[in-house]
Amino acid sequence: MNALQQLATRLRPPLSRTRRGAIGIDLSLTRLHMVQFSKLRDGRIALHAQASLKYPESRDELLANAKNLKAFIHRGLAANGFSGRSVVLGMPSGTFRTISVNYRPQSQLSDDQVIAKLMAERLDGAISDYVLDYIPVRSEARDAEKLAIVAVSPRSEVTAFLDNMRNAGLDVSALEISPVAIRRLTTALPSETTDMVLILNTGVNRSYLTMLSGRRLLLDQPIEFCESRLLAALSRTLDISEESARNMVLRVGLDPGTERMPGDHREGETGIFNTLLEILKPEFMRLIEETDRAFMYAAAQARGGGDAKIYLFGSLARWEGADRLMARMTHLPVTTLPNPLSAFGNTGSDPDHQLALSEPEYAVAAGLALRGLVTDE
Amino acid sequence: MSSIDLIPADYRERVQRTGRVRQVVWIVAGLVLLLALASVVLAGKTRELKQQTDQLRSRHALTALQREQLDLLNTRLADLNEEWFLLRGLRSGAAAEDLFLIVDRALPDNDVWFERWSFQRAGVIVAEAPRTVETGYFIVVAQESPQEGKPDWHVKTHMNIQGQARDHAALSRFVRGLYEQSEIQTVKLNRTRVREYANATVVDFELAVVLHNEPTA
Repeated sequence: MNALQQLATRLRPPLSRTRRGAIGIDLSLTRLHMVQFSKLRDGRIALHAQASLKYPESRDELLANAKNLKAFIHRGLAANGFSGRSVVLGMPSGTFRTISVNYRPQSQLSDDQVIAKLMAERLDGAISDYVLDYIPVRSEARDAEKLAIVAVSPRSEVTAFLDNMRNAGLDVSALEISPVAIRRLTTALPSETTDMVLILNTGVNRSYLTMLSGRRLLLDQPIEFCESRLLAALSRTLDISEESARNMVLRVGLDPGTERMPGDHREGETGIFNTLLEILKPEFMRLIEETDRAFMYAAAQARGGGDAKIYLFGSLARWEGADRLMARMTHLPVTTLPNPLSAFGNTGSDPDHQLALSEPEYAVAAGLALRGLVTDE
Repeated sequence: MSSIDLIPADYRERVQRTGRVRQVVWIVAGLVLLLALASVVLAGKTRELKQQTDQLRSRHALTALQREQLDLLNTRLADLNEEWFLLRGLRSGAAAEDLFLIVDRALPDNDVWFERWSFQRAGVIVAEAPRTVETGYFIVVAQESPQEGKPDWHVKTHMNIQGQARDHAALSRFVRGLYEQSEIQTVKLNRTRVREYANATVVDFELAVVLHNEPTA
């Protein structure tokens, strides 16, 4: 940072924070993501603290060891300037599922009771063994049939997870799921109005398609498309390790049509692009089939089409050119969000700081941290 | 409802209840700690006050002892003063050689002559009771605050004179002359008897002359 930048940083008026939000915590497979926002006096939301910490051991081992978990979380909170211990947690992937439920309201029963009754028929075992909550998707249908997305998780897993977090000294104010968090984040981001938004949240071992119609969550479903699957295909075909395949794809990217400046290190690597694309295209084709189905479902639920776009979150957002590749294949605008926190300002101009924020995996934690600061409609 | 929260209601209630119990426990623990601290502080203060009280008490005891000693000394001083007063009384009055002059000044011209006289000046210890007895020649030495049962000092200072006078008139002049002497407190004529000889008549007499105890100026 040069002297001018330092001066500008010093002269920047201090943010008059009025309310500190809860800390959003997302335990992904390999890293712990934490984000905290503040709501300013003028209504704007500003980033207060963020951290992305690699687990010292596997996530399951860490969750099973309360002492290590507590030390790990407290170290992360203390070292990165978080305030308070009130948190909004995201249920780890694989510990919950979402189910779309169509139901007809009954005069003598509330919607909660109707959905509980329907879910009791669909779930194995007693419904009391599960924790479920839902969000309504369609309530003004002409045929009076309603649609809800129900999140379900075994009660034992939920209470064990909550106990672990409480034992780690956290005050859990809410336990959410990642699609809801991402919906909250995308609706809070300043962007042009779009009727349909498909969010592709890519993980190492699994990805999720979340469909939004306006501010409504229409669909959330896991798909087999994931980063490790792509790397395994490269590794198998090229007979290299998955780590080497990752390094290669991060170095050259996926878009052969990317404009390059003279001297770009990727100049002359067009052959590699074509090879990578040929290997990965079948996987991407399966992804496109899934996205097409999602858009068709959304159009049916929303009673019509409209503008549509795709947001790309997660590990695949790091692959340069992945968004342009998908855009060419889907004929839809695809936007990568490499830095979901940049929209909330206060990120400074320090390149190191910007790099630290450019974690696409912050998306879920950011959405969780926005709970209570933005209106959920 | 547009958001999802998977925390079970009963779990949340239990956590809140536990939190409230924990809060109460913390408050009680805080109060207990506060009381313990207060008791420690008060115990320290009490110990300090007790030490001060002990010091004051020991000082008071010392003062009482000193007062007792002072009383003893005052008593001793009173005794010594009394003794000194007595001794001073004994030492006071006319000197022996002056007594002759005193008596001589009272004697008429060869009308009275002495056959025997004696002079006594001594202090004696007598009980308080005889104080009411006014007979004899005992003179009570005045005391400021005589204590009951305490021996009293009386001074016996007088002259007994036996002699003869030419007649009663001469004896009377002699007694009057004695009265006129400032050193003489009183004169008591104990006995008179007319004795006749072949060619004369004389008066035998015995009288006691009591002298002032106070030193003469």
